[in-house]
Amino acid sequence: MNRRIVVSSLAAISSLVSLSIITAVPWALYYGEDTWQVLAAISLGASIIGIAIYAVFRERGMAYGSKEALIIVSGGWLLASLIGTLPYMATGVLPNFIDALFESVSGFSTTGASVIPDPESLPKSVLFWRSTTHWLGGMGIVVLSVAVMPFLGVGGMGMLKAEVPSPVIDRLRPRVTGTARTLWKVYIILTVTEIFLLGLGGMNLFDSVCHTFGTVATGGFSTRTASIAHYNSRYIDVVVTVFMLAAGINFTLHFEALSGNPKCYFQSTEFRTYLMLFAGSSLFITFQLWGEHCHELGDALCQSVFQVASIMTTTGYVTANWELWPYSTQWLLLCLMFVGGCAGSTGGGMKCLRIIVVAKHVFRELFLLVHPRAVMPLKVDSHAVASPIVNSIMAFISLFVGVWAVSTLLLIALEADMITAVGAVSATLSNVGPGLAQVGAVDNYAWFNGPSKLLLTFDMLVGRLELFTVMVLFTREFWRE
Amino acid sequence: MSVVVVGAGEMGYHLARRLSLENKDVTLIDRDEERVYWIQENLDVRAIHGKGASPDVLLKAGIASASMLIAVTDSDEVNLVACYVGKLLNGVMKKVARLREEDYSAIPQILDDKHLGIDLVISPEREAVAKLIQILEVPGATDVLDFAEQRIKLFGICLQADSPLAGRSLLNIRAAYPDNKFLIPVLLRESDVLIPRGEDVLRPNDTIYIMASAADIPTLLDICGLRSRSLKRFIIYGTTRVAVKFVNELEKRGVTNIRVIGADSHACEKIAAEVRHALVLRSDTLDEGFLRSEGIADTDAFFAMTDDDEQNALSAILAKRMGSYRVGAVTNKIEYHRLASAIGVDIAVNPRLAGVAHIIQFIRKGRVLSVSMLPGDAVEILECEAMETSDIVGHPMRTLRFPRGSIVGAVERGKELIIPDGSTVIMPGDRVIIFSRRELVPRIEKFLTVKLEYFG
Repeated sequence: MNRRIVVSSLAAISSLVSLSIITAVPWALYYGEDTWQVLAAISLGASIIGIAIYAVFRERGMAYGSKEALIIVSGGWLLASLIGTLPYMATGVLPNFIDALFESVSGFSTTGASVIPDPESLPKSVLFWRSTTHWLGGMGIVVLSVAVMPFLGVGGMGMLKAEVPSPVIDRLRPRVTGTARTLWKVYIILTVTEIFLLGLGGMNLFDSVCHTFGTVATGGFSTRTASIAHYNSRYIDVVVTVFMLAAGINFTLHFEALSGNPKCYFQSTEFRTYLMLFAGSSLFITFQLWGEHCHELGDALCQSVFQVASIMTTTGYVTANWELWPYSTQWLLLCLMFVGGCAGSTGGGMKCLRIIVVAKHVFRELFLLVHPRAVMPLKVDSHAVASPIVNSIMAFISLFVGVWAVSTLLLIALEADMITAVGAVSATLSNVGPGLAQVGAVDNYAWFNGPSKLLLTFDMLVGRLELFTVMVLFTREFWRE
Repeated sequence: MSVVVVGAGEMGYHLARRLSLENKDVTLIDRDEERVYWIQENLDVRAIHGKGASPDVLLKAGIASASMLIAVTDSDEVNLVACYVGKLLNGVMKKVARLREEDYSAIPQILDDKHLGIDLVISPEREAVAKLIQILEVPGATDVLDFAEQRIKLFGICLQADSPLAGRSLLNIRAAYPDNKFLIPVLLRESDVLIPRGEDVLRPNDTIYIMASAADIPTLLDICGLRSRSLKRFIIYGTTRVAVKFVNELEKRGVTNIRVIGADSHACEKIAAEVRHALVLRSDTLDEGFLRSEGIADTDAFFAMTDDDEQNALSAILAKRMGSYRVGAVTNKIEYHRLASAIGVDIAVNPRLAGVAHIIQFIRKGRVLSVSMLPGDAVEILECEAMETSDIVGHPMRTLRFPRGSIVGAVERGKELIIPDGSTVIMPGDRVIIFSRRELVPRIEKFLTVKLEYFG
């Protein structure tokens, strides 16, 4: 492994993350908070240290191997999370390191699970940083680094593969830097549009920026204790729903549509599946709610559509307390957490594409029992999926279930009851945020003890990096020279 | 600027790598899915699986907005059709095609705008032979580059332990030969390319590059301790296209004592029909007895030119052991090219690399007259005309803030070659040859106020 490359790239990524803390300073000044000096000091201090380390270790003609790429991505996320704790700890909002780390990882991994019971009591600048971690983590800090620092692009494809939540990456542009920039452009277009639309709905600028960051990154941090329910506005519910759904779609499709081919959405099997799952689940929940829980069909429809979109895209915004809903709907929501968004979106979970491939694989195995000699390539969008990709998807699902089962076991052993543990692990591993029972829609994660928080922090991080990137670091083969 | 390259063989791969290092948008097309996957992982280029001459695939590769199409597959037909289809899809784009067969030269109009519209035809074999002839013109050199219409040459020689230059610093050498105009701007030490400073000491086994007027070369060879021996007796091993072309070129230059050794009887018969004086010998193996009986000990130069890199390298070493004065080998894999001098092969030529170099030169334009690369492509050599507006004009060299790692190698004013020192002042209209590490080239551009622009 080439240590100089690893160190200099990590330093470059860290200084970019540190520098982004400075965006919280204008809000501090605007709202007259005295946090601005601390935030500016951390931001500049950390980024200068980062740049200095980069300057010492950088090398001409850096060549990356796959090992370097994996460690840069995992290490970059860990460092970003550590830097992310600084604003919480230095301003005294979360003086405990484990709490700050939980909140920071929750932000970057776009989970939205919080240890802060009442966000309104926090300085606005710190709330802004909390939402900014979502926004940076949504499209990915490594993708951002590659986009703004082209020298990382030489070996960038390996890093993109390790970070972008998708089994296959489409090269939108011939060069990695171009691809990363294109992804961020689409992301920024979505962001600006939503800020504008939320502003039209009467939300103030600060709240609409923060909620937009939470939506397009499928994060879920809100500036309000009651989340989106606070606004009690059907217009805002609709805007947030639409943008949550958009953020859960493969960004390649958005790019194609923006380049003048809006038909591409319906040509994609994954998009059609995503939409059908969303519509079917919403309808099911609507009819479960209608009558007993909601007297009006419109209310039932609105609540179920918002909640299905929020859970399925792994955002985690809340307009209704689903803990009071029938168990069938809670179970369905739990299942949707696992499905997640589309591949190549900002959503978490297993991703629709993988579910489709697994379903087709199962069907193929059944078919082969009847026709043992049949030659059946596994096709998605009328293209055969290469068998190494199918194998890697099967391994991913197995690993996901394995990590999920072991984490749940540990959490129950540590302190939680079974339903809470299942909800908490599912919600963190899939980067949703709110789970079931004691971590449900209106609860938070503050009451867990230190080891439990660390376990859930780990789940959020491996969930965001899609397991392989982090888990490979635990193999002996990786460290063998 | 975006470039579409058809064919991801050695040539396509290295072209794509070079261009992507210079931040160009490159899309590669190849038939081999695994190769495409591998390239996607290893280079910062987009690779597409498909047939290079297919309109669908070319469109997917973004041909409509590309500024250049480079077709370098192993098949002439695919390359020609790819250029033709490319021309129909994008009329303004430049087109480069690799052609092996010379037959097309009988109807040159096939390449003009009315028909295929190919701007540059490249034949790696022809490039390789041209390079070999260029090297052989400087006896003892391992590499030769021409500048200023061949009036200035840059040649590489490998320093032997007994060479009078070994163990001396550049300042020392300069002081010892005050009357001779030459410069050592670059040297290869193990796998590094160095731009030496005055106090640096030359070591045995360094390959030093010397820049001088073509007319001064014989005296310089004496200084280096190389006896210049004219090459008269050749043994060529192999019956490839390169071998045939090389024999033809040698015969054109009046060499009559050539032996060609081949294993395949058909190929031997074919080559025997094409050459004038050369003696063609058929032998399955290249054993010591056979070589000795063909007079390897008195041979001036042995060239191994089969398709097999390993065989070429080993037979060249064997020939050197048995007394051949110079030995050379054709390499096909670019990785092997750099190894050649380390294992004792005097001259190594890689047809594909020679082809790539020519294409890169073609791509550059502006007031830069030529761009050359040294092995390992860490250093580029730019030849350009100093313009009145340029920062380098009118000040003594020592006051110029030239980036470390780059150096003005030579200045040609009228017919006079000037090897610059700190007091030299460059005048408008001078022809300047600059050596620079590749990553510094953008800063050199600023100095020259010459943009190393590309077409489109």
